Amino acid sequence: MTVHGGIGQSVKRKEDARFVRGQGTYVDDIKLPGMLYLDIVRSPYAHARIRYINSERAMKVPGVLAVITGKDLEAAKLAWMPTLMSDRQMVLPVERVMYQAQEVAAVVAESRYAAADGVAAVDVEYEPLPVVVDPIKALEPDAPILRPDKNEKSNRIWHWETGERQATEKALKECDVVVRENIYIPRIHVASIETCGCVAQFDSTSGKLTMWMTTQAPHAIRTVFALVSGLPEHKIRIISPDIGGGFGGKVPVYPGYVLAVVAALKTGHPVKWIEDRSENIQADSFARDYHITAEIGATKDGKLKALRVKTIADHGYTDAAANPSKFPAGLFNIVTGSYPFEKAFVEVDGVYTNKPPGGIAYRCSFRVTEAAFTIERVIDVLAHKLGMDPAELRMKNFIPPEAFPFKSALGWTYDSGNYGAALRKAMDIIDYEGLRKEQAEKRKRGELMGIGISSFTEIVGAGPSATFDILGLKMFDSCEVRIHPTGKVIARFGTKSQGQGHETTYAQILAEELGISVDDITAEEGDTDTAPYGLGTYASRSTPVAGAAAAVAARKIRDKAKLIAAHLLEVSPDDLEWKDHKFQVKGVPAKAKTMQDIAFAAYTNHPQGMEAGLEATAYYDPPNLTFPFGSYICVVDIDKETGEVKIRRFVAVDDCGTIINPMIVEGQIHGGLTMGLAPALLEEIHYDEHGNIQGGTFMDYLLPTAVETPKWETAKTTTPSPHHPLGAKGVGESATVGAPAAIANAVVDALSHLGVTHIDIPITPWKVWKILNEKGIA
Amino acid sequence: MKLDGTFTVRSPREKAWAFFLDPKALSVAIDDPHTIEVVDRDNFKGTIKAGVAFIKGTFTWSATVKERTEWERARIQVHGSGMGSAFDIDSTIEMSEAAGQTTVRWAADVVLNGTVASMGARLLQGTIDKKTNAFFENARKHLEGA
Repeated sequence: MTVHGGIGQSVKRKEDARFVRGQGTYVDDIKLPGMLYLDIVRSPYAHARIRYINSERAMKVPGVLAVITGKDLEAAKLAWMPTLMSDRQMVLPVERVMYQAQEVAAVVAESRYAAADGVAAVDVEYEPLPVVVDPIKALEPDAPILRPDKNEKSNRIWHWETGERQATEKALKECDVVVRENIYIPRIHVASIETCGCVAQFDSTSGKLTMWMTTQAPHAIRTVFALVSGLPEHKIRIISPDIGGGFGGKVPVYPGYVLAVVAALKTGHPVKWIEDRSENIQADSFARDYHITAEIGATKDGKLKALRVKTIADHGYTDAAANPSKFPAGLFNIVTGSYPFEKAFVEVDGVYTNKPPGGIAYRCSFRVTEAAFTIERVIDVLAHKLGMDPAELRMKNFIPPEAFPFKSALGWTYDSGNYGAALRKAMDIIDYEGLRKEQAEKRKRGELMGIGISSFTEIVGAGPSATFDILGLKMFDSCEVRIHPTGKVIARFGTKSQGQGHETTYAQILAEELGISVDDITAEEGDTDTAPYGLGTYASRSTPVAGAAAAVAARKIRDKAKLIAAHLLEVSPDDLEWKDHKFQVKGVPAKAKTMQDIAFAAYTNHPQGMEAGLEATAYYDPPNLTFPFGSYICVVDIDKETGEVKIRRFVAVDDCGTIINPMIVEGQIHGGLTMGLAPALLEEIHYDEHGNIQGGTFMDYLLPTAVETPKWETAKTTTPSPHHPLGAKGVGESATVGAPAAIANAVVDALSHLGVTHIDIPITPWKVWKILNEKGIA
Repeated sequence: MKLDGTFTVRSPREKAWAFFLDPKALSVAIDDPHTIEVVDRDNFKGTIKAGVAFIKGTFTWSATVKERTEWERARIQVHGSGMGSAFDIDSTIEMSEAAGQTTVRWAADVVLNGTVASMGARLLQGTIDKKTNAFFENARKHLEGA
C-alpha cells in the first residue's frame, strides 16, 4: 500500500498554490504602521579616503528624518561586523571606502522617494587612492596594502593546501604525459529575481527586535545579530518569509540589514530597506573569481596518475564567503572529481582586492563548480593531447562502482557512485557514436560542430559536526514534528526554502515515514521563534541533512506509536511490525492501527505511565557528506561568420540517490542547467582599471532567457547514499556544477582541430570569432 | 581614458586663448545646462546637468588652472561629482598660430568613477565624442562668427 504523496511520487508542489496566484509574501510585501524607508549612499570610488560627509542638504529634503554615518556607528561600536569567515567587514566606513558601490551613509525617510532624494543630497568628499582589481597584481611586492588591519605586508588573506606536495610533484615527473592549463572562472553574481531587503521593528516595551529579512539561514543570522548587537538572543526574532531566489547570495549579512536595525532603534519606527537591482548586482557578495592552473599526469595509454592545482582566489576587500570555518577554499578539493588519482595536491591563496566581497557559493556546494569545471575541462585537454576520445578516457579512468566507499587522494570518502553507468546512459540517449561520425563528416565540409562531456561528482550535505561549522555553529539541521489528535501534522525545520519546494519534499518524507497523506502535513520553516535551530538552506544540504532529520524524527514518533498501538491492540510491541504504513500484528494484517488511530489515542487513550502526545524533534548530524554525480553531454554548432554558439542538444543524466519528488528534482535540474549555461556563455562581472564594475545592470550582465535556453533532455540513474536514512543525496546544485564544463568542452571540441585547447568562460561570440579570425576562418 | 585632438579655427591666437581660458566666455560652447562661478583667476566652480544615455543628473564641479604660459599652453584640472559618480579630468591645451589660423592641440586624461562609468560604460565613448565635437563646433562658431 502506498501512502498518498509518499517518496517517489510527483505530487504537485504545495507552495505553488500561493505562488501561481501571486499570493506569496515576500519581505517587500511587509507593510507596518508608521514604517520608514532606508536608502543608502554608495561610493563612486573603488578605493578612496573619505574627507568628509556632510548631511546638511539631505536633512533639508522634505520627509528625511535621519542620516546615519560610519562615525555614528563607530560611537556604538557597530562600524564593523564579523563575516562568516572570521574576517570583518564595514557596516559603514569611517576612513576609507574599499570598493565601488560600498555603503557610505544611510538616509531614513518617510517614503522611499524621499529617502532616494536624501541620498542624492548627501555630500561626500573623497580622496582617491590606488586601486587594485587584479588579485595577481595584488600579490606583487609593491602592491598597495589594502587591509593593514589584517596583514601589514601582503594582500594574501590565507594560504590553504591539501594533499601531498612532494609526492605529487614526483608522480607528475614520472608520468609519460602531463598537460597544464590556465583556467579563469570569472566573477559572477547570483542575480536572484528578488533583491535583498528587510523590515526591522523594535518594540521598546518588550525590548524585542523583529526582523523580516531575505535570509537563507535565519537561525545563524539571529545568533550573529545577538553577538554583534548585544541584544539577548531570545529578544531577537528573525522571520524569513517567501524568498525569490537565494542561490547562496542570501547567506551573508549585508550592511543594509544592520543599518535598518540601527535606524529602527534610532527612530522608534519600523524601517524597511530593499535594494534596487543595481545595488544588488553591484554590491552584494559575488561568486567564483578563481584563477586556476591545473596539471594532470597520465600514462601514454591514458591512465590518470597525478593532479596538481594552484589557485588564486579573489575575495574582494574582505573574506565574507559562507564557507565552513575549516575550509577557506570551500570544498574545492573535490577537484579530483570522478577519478582515482594516486597522488594529488591543491593549494589556494585567498587575496584582497578593491572589489565587493566574493566567494559565496552560487548554487554550488562551496567552490564545487570551480572544482568540477577544472577537472572536467583538463580531462578534455588531456584527451586532446593523447588523441583519445574524451568519453573513452573517462570510461577508462572512472572510480569503479565496487570501489565505494572510496577515499580520494585529497581526503574525501565518496559514499557511492556508478559513473560509468551514468555516462553510458547519456551516450546512448544522445547517440554519441553517431554524433562523432556526423562531426567527422562536417569537419570535412568545414562546418564547426562540437561534442562536450562532463562527468562530475558533487559533494553536498554539509556536514559532519566533527569538521563542519560556520563561526563555530555545527552544521547539523533539525526537524520538529507534532501529530495532532486527528492525525494531522505540523513539522518545522531549521532550513529555509528559496523556491526549492521544501514544503512538499519534507511533507513527502514525513508522509512516507508516518503513513499520513501529504495533504495532511504542513511543513514550516523560517521563523526563529517557532522553528528548531538549524544552519539553513544552501549547498544542497536541506534534503541530505534536514530531510534526514525529518526521517529520524518520524522514526522516533514511530517508536512511541508502536507502544500505543500495542496498547490499543492488546498485544506486545514485539508482536507488531510497521508494514504498509501502519502497525500490524505479525501474520494478522487485519489487526492493525494507522497513525491516525494512534494519534487520537495519544491524546485520549494512551497507556498509563506514558506521556501524552505524539511528537519528536531530531537534530541530524550527518556521518558523512553525500556525493551526487552525473554525466552531461552537450552538442554545439558554431556559426563561422559570427562566432555564435548554438546548443543543439544537451542530455543530462543525474544521480542524486533516492528521489523524493521526481517532478521537483527535474525542475531543479532544468533550473540548474540554465544557471550552468549562463556562466558558460553569457555571465561575467568585470572591473575596469579604476574598479568600476562593468556588468552592474541587466543590460551588461546577461542572464539566459527562454530564447537562449535549449531544450534540456534529462534522465537518471539511482545510486542511493548508504549512510543517509533515505538514501537521498541532494540535487539542487548538481546541474549548475556539471553544465558549464560540458558546454565549454563542446565549444573547444568544435575548434580542437584548429589547435584550440581552451577558451575561458564566458565563451562569447566575440571570443570565438576572434579565434576563427586568427585561424583565417571567419 | 586618454583623449586628444586638434582643432583649427580662423581666429587670432590671443582671441582663442582668451576664449578657452575664460570660463564665462567658454560657457557658450557648452550645450548642457550649467552654471559657472569664478572664484578667482585660476579657480572656477559650478554645476552641470549631464550624463550618459538615460543616466543623467546634476554634477557639481570645480576647476583649477594648474599651469599657464600665456597664449601657448595651459593645464587645467577639473573634478566633479554627483549621481553616485565622480569624474576627474587633467587636460592640457597648446596653441599655435599660422596664416591667420589658430591650431589648438588638446589632450585630456579622464577618470570616471561610479554609476556613469559602470552603467554607462558601453555608451561612454560615443557620448564623449558627441559632446567633444559639439563643444568645438560651438567654439568655432563663436570665434569665427564674432
